Amino acid sequence: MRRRTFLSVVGGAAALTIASTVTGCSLFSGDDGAPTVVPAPAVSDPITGLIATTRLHVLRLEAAIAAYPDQAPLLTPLRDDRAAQLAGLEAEYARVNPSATGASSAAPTVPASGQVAAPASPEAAISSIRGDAATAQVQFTDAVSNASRYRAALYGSIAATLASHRAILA
Amino acid sequence: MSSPTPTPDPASTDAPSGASDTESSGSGSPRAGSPQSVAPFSSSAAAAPGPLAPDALAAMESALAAEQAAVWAYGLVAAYARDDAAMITENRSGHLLRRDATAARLVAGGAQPTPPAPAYQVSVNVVDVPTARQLAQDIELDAAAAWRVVLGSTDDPELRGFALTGLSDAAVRLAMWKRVAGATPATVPFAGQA
Repeated sequence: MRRRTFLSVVGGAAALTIASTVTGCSLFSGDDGAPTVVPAPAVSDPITGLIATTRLHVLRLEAAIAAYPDQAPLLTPLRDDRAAQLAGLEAEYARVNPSATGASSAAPTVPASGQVAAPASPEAAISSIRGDAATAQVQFTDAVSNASRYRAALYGSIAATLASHRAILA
Repeated sequence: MSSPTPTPDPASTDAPSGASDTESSGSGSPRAGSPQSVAPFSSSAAAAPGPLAPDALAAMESALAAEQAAVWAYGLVAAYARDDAAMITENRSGHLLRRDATAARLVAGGAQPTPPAPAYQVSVNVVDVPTARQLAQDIELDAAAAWRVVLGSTDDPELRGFALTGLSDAAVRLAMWKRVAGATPATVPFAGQA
């Protein structure tokens, strides 16, 4: 009887320890050595959103060029611009986040084509790409205000190029 | 227009110190009427332009010189590229507005703007339509480069917005001139970057 009571107490403590580990707080943290306070995840670099957008737009340009080769003379230079911007943004991310370059460099600088469905017609493709340029221009323009000087010049330069893309596609 | 290009700094992800002290504003920013323009940041609240720091002052003076040269040089372009008259008029008006707004911004920032020169040495010997169009492209290249340097020379959101408008307008004009001239590609990945 006494032994059964002892076992039930130990079992209860073990259950409490497991539960507290899961929930992240414990009354006995000083005893069992389990960390109760863990570092918060690092604030992500705001450039990652711009990289993601640019990568998606490169994919869409690739898909449109593949689907409508007659539009290639118009779209290929724009795709080349966006791919160069993507490479520049990734280089900037790697410069500032040298410890995180594994994930960044693992991503292809210029994605393979065919991963995004092309719009149903050439006109729809041009319209979609023009919309992408407008969306990205707003994104980069907004990013200028709180960036460092170097990044402000980088983002502003890309935003201005996107304005020229819209003019070419108008 | 040989202002230094902005270079990376170690803490480049950080918001500039004091950046939140000045609200963004489009006031004083001439709009070229380009449908490709995007209002810089949220310009719901107007803020008075503040004094210009030395870096920004030097960059703004270079930008003013580029705009003054552009206004003058478009007169030369107009003499030879007569088929492009409407485009030249629109572009020259845009540079004229921006020149005056830049001078006003310098005055508001406590500086004394340098007046325009009576004449400028141009990059090409303009003798016909192709050389006139080449000069027009060079004008916009210079303007874009100058405004990019302003953008990278200040932490002031209002001034950044002002510079971004100038950079975007120049990039659009450059693309249009390249297209008219049949130059490919008509755009560059990083406007204003050499």
